[in-house]
Amino acid sequence: MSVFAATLRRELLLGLRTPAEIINPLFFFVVVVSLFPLALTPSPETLRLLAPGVVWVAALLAVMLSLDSLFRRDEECGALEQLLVAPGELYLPVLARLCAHWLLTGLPLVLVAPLLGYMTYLPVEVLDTLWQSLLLGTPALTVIGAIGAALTVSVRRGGILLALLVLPLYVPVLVFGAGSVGRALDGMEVSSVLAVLGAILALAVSLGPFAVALGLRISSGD
Amino acid sequence: MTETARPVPGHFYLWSGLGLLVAVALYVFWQAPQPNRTVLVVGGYLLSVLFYFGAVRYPHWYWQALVRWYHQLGSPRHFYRISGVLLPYLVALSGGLLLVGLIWGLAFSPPHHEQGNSYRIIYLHVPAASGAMMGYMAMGICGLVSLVWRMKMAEVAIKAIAPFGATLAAVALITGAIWGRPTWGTYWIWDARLTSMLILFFMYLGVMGLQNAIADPRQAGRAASLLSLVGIINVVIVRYSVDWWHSLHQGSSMSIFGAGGSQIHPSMLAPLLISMFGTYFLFAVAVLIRTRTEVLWRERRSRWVKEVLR
Repeated sequence: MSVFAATLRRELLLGLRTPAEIINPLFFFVVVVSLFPLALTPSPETLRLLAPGVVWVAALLAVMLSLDSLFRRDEECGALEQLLVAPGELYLPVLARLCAHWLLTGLPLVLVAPLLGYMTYLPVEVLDTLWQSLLLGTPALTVIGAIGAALTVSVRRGGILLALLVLPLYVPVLVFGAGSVGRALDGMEVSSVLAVLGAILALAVSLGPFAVALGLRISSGD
Repeated sequence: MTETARPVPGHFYLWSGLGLLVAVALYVFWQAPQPNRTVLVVGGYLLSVLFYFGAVRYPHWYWQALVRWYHQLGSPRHFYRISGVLLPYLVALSGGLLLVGLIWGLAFSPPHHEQGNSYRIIYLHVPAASGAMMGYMAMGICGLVSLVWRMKMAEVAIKAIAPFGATLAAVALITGAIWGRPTWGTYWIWDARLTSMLILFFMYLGVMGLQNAIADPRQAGRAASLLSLVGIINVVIVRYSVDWWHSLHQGSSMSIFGAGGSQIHPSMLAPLLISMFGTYFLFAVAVLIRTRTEVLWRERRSRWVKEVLR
């Protein structure tokens, strides 16, 4: 079995056996979005205007909060150390970890987003753009955030620090992600904006794992 | 240097002639405002000819000097010596430029035809904003140098740049708010430039936070290097995305200088440019002083530090 498949399988198994790590970000996403009507107004017109931003920001925060568990467990049990001293490039194992993490935490967000969009009165035609933009955006968020997670893995209680590092890096994804849904809401074409999101995803996936691997090496004191 | 000068090869004339053609074409067809165009085209041409001439006639000397400087600046001891020689000149240069630029700008340049005297805060605002941008670029380049060549001095430089860059970004934001009140009628608008400066400020804070959170200085330095390198890509993308976002909202696009960029009258541009260069040199001074202190602290057990401090 190749390195990629073996790592992916291991990570998926570990994730599925600790279901809290999958369910918690999803639960967070749903709770945060449903807080907004309570805080703002139940009026459909207002909520519809705010929905793209609310759903996107909530998804972004859910991805960011799930990142803390990305390398933490492996760091505590020493598996990360083994990964770093093992021969060969780190690119594939890191990419496999990120894939598994996105499949377990990001994909559920994408799947549940149309429901939340519907609850915040987004028109049904716009829901397509919502899940498509999240499908392109959340993996990019996972990869970019993983750079911050790798750098803070050796920092105790690095949660707030991680947010400080990662949130400014999330700005472009948020702008184009929420922007695409907003455009769809205005009845404009969205394929160009989704293409930009795709470009950001391609950049993140191709270069991101290198940065994550370097960050892990730095954190291990190498 | 005992290297003998080589004769000028024929292709030098060919290429400099072509360069002259390009410069003339740029001068004629480039749509930039007049004084900037002259300075940029003539200055750029002269600089490239100088560099090419030197590099062709004395290639060995050029290369050797570059390599020597690079290695000397990378060693803490030589860095301390060289920066100690440079520092007084830089202090004088930045002090002089800032004094001339600010007094000229604040007291002697003509008032704006719409904004009266309130526009004069530009002489603080624009230098601070551009210094903050340049500072982040410098930090990213130091990050690359530190990660590729593992140069200790580059890590120290990042630690020195981050707080001063954050300060400049904060100054740019605050003076922008003070300026915005009389011109726009509000302290803050979600303008594309304001927003990207705010994000730049957050990114400086991130580098400082990471630097402070890790106890081991080498590890903290390398972590900050990676973050500032990633951040440089982000700065560029944020710039484009925020422009796009702003044109999407198309609300209050109250750009002062219009779409053309710097359509500033020369009598206002000259003091502005002088204070900008003054700010850059001030940046260099602040970074050098902080770097020197940090170098002394990190190398405190070595003999040369004990000799310096005796």
